[in-house]
Amino acid sequence: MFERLFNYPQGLWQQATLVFDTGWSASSLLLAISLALVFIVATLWRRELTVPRRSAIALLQAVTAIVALTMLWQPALQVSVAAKGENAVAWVLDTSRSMAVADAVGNADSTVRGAVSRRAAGLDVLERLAVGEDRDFTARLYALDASVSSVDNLDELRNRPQAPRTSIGGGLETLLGTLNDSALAAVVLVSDGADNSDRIDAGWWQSIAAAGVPVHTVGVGQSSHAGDLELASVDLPDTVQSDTQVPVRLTIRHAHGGKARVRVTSAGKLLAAEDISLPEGVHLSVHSLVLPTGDSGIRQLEFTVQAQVGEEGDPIVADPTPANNRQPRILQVLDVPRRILYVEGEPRWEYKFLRRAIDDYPGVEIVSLLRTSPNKFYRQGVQEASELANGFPDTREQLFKYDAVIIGSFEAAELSTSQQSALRDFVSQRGGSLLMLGGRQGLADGGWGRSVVAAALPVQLSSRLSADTFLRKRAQVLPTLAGLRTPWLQLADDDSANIAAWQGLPELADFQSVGQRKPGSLTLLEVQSADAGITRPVPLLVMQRYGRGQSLVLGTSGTWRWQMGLPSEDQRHELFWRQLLGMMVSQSVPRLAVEPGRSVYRDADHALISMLAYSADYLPLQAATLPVSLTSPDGRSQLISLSADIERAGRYVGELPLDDDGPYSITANTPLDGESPAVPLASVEHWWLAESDTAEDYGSVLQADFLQRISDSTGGTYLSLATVDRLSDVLASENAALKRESRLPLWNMPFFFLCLIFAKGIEWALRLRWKRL
Amino acid sequence: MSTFRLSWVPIFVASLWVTPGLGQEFTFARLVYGEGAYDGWPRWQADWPEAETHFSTGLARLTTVDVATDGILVRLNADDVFDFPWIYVVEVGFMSLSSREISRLRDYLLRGGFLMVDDFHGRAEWQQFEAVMRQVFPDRDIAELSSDNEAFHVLYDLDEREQIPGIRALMNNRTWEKDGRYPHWRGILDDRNRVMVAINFNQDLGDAWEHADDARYPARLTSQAYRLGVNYVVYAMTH
Repeated sequence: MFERLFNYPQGLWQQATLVFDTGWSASSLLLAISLALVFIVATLWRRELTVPRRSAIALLQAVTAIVALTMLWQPALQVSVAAKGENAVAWVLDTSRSMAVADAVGNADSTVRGAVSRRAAGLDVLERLAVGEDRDFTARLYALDASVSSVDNLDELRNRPQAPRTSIGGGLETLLGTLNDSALAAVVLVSDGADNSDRIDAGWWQSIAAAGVPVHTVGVGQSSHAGDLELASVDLPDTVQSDTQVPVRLTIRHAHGGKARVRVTSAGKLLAAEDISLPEGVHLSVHSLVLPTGDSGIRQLEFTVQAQVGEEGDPIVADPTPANNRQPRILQVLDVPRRILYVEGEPRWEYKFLRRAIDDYPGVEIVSLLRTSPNKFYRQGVQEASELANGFPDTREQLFKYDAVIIGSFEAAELSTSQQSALRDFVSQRGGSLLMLGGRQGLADGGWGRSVVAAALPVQLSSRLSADTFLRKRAQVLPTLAGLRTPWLQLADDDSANIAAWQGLPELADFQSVGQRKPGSLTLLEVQSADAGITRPVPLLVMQRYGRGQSLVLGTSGTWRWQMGLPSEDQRHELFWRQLLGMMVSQSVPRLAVEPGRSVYRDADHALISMLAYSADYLPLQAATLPVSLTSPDGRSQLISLSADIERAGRYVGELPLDDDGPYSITANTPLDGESPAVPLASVEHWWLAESDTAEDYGSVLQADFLQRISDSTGGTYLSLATVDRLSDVLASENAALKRESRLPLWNMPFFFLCLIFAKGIEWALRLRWKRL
Repeated sequence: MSTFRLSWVPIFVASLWVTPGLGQEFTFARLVYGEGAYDGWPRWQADWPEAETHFSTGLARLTTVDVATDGILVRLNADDVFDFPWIYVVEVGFMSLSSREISRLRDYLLRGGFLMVDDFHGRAEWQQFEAVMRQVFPDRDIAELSSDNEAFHVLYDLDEREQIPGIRALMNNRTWEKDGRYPHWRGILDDRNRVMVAINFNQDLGDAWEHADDARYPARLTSQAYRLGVNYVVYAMTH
């Protein structure tokens, strides 16, 4: 309707500029209209008509004059339009194996009927919308799989073999990079969005947006396959401590709810089997599993999920893609416990029971330095006779080899300024965890508020010489809301049992005021303190991030009453300390670390590996390269150098070739470039798997959100098969790369003529009625 | 003819004298056992209170432990026994415990409490003590502590030890009482081979502490008794 009245589509009007072909200005038109209106008023002024009749006639004549004068000025729309055939649209069809899945349904105009393959549906779109003579844009056809390649015609696309990988990331980057200088008006990507490359990152999103070419996406396929059960991902740490348990998170994609069984095997031996319930109404659910780690070594684990069998022994719904019901993983089980340095100024019960709580906890070792008499220190847990033989570590390197430090009832003045600085840097630079305990000589009473370490602490300790903040007074501890949500403060599995477990603890033997919290710190535990007859909660356990590490303050030395005050079978005291100290060491930054990457490379020709390397005092390594040893599945080892990342000091990256299927590993060792062999040694080993012909089995459902995001990021439009016919309109209003200025006349708009006919017609009718022709 | 038992009197007086013992980290806690008394005098009370006051003063001077100057009396049936993870008990050759006390002593030790046993001599007293401990831990043996046990090295190296006699035996020019000629340092260990119960058999460290200010008691023996006691306390607070 709009176009019939105003000659052109509404979208065109919105983009265009109004001009006058006569070259006369708009102000002259306004002046002419004003004069015409004055003339009309003057001529009607003395007529013998009532005021309403005179006004009606004046209004109708004014409309006639305005329209006629406007037409006389010859208005036109000035627009930039693409010349036919001068601009191109790149039509990209995904030709990977996942496009062979027959779950696509075309729209009413399509030649596709019923469920067909995604590729057939995509070809139908191209056939109807891309090729043909009467197109504003030149169509260029491309096939997308592991890379993007140009094709001459649809038959070539139709006959192209199924590719084992999809790299939308790499393909679009290549396409936009190579065609950016040509007259590329838009890209139309017809795909299920199932990308299995490792190219999608923040930089990629920025680069496709910066290319300035809209990418319209057409999603083909369904968001779930009927009956398909897919083990989408298995999350577990790369390395774990021996003789512990490792939590595993399984993400399962399923079309329907129901029962399924998860199995974990290693070298054909069943490690765990668990029945799980898949919720109805969602297609992705997360499940947890706990595995015993056993002895140290390399474990090649196989996780599988199987739909629960019916009474006849068959799965209730047949699984169309059983290949994606498995996920292999490599788990490194190490026997290298993390070490905590515990410095204590006096023998006390907290020291004993804290050490006991960790006794049977693999993965954490406490090395303690205890002042037993004014001139004697007693060491426990040392690895060699020289360790801590001279007391608190003198050098940063000696201190930095620990993963966490606990300071008990120990005066700050016992440490030199350089030792205090090293302790502060242990948190900020080394990335270790520092826990300060309450005590007669702990926290403010030990002068720590006036120490160099005070900057690292999450609280503002009193700096008075005699703070007297330590009280041998019993107090009940309770977690704050943040504490209740903190996983390592859970004493029971569910929320109500956890609260009851905390409430049921005996009172602490003592507590100490920790002072004011610093901004950014988090209070996790509190005690009820009665002061001047008013009971109020005061912080007990406070923590904050500081630099690379974290610091915690626990204002008590009286948790030992939880152990002595509860039956010997009760494990709450042990659980508290194991979880707290376990969290502390888990946050420790290693000297050599492989950044989290993919555990399994499917149909990839190389693995992207990045490592972080620090010197012995935890400054980023400055070497140009980092040598690593790469071991292939056949056992061959070769020395490869990772290159320094110019954007981040201490980061080294490399693409390692994957020639065979199977387990690969890299190993890096100290001493690093230019280091003395005397510094504490560090090494890291990282394992991953390479597989062929499996990439397209996973995540092969329609990834509409991903495609939508591509379109949104580039200024394009996402369309489903049901709405794909809108693509013609979308492309018609496209901002083409090459455009010409054009003026579209408006004087002949039907709207103007209708206005004239309407105004004069009404006037004529009124005059007849009033018999005043 | 009815009799009027006076055995409660010293306990009553003691309970008036002792303090709650929560003001310091370590309080010398003496175990009170038995409702009645033997020969009208409670056996648990031997060397009390001078032994603990003398020893506590020495412990405070020789170590960095925050020590209460006065001791405290504890009973296994009382809840506050668990607030004192180190307990001293004497004359255990005459000790008998109720089934509830047996159960609580077992739990006390399994939770991490430490029991130092002193001042009992000869085969008969050993058999009585052993019978009681057999009820507490039917599955744990009493072992001889070797000289390389950490309890003898945690603060002082006590490889060479000699029998610590009671003062009455010493006045009779002997170092032993009854038929307990040879000293033994024994213990009951937990699952990680830590000493839970330290047993000074055929010895009387309590007398050595009590008579530390008595010129008749040799300073050499007093010194060893102090050092052994200090080691037991520091061991109990570190293991």
